[in-house]
Amino acid sequence: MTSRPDRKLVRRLKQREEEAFTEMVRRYQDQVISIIHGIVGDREEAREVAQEVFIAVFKYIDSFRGDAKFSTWLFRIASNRAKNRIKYLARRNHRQHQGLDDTRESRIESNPAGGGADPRPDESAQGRELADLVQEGLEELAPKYREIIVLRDVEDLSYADIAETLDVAEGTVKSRLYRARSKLKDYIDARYDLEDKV
Amino acid sequence: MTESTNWPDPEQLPATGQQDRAARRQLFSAYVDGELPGDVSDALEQRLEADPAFEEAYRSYEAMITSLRDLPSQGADEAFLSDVQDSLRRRSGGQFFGAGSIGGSEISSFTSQTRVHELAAAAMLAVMLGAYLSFGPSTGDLTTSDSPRLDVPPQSAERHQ
Repeated sequence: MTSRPDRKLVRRLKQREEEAFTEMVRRYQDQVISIIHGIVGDREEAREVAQEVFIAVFKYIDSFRGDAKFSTWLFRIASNRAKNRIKYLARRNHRQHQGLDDTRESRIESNPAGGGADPRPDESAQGRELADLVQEGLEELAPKYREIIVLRDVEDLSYADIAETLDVAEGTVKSRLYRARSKLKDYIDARYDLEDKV
Repeated sequence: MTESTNWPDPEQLPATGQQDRAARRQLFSAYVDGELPGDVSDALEQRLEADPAFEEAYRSYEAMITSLRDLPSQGADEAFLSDVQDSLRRRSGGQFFGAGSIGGSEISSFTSQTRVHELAAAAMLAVMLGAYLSFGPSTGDLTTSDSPRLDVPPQSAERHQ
C-alpha cells in the first residue's frame, strides 16, 4: 500500500499542485533515472525518458487508484518507458544498419553460453576490474534481465516491490533474477576464461 | 535431503564444473538475497565451511553481486529538476511553472476537461434557474394540479367565518 507521505503527495498531485510535482521529482528523480539508465544504458536517453515519466505521472495521476505503492507504480511507468525507448532505438538502429543483427537485445539472448563476440586482445579481461566487466555485461543483457538486476541489485527493491513494479508473481521475480544473474556470470566467466566456472 | 524439497541439496552438489551449475547458482542467488529457507541455508553454510572449492565458487558469485551493488549511482544531476519543470511548462502551454496561455497542449487539454465539466454544470444550473425565475413563481405553477398551493394561505376560508 502507498505510504502516508506518498498518499498526501498523490492527493496534491491530483489537485495539480505545482509544488507537489516538484516534490515528486525531488523525491524520486535519483531512483527513476537510475532505473531507466540501467535499462537503457545511456545517460542522456535516461534523462530524457525520466522527464517524460514525471510528466506522464502528473498527467495520468487520476488513474492511480492507490491499490499499489505509488513508488512501484511510478517505477513501472519508468521501466515500461525505458523498454519502449530501447525498442525504438533498436528499430532506428536496425533501419540504419539493415542486414546487421546488431541489436543489443539479441546478443546474449542468442548465445546462452555467454553472449557477444570474443573480446579483442585489447579488451581482454586480464587485469581489468570486475566492476568494469559487470557494467559491460549488464549493458549486454536483454532488457528484461537488465531491468530485474537493476531493480534488485542496484535499487535494492524487495522481491515484493519488484513483483508489483513488473506486475508479475514473486516466483517469477526469483526465477527471472536467477536467470539474469546467471547470464551475467556467464558473460564475466567467458571473459575471465575461468577453468572452473561457477 | 533437506526439509525443503524444492531446493537442491547443498551437500549433494559438485563444487565446480558444468554439472549442476544451474542448481548451484540457484542456491547462491537465493542465498545472497536471504531468500533460502532456514534448513537449506544452514546446509549451504556447512558446505561452504567444509569445502574450500565450493566456497571459492560462492565467493566468485558473491563478488559479482557485490560489484553490481557497488555500481556508481546514476542519479539526477542538479539541472534535472529545472529541466523537467521547464518541459512541463512548455507542454502545458504555460499552465504550470510559468505565466502563459492555456490551450493546445496535452496537459492543458487533459486538465481542462475537469474545467469544461464544471462550466457545463454551471451553465445548466444557470439555465434551470433562469427558467424557474421566468416561468416559476410569477407566471405559472410548476406544481401538478394535485399538489397543494403553497402560495395560498390554507386557512383563508376561516377568516370569512
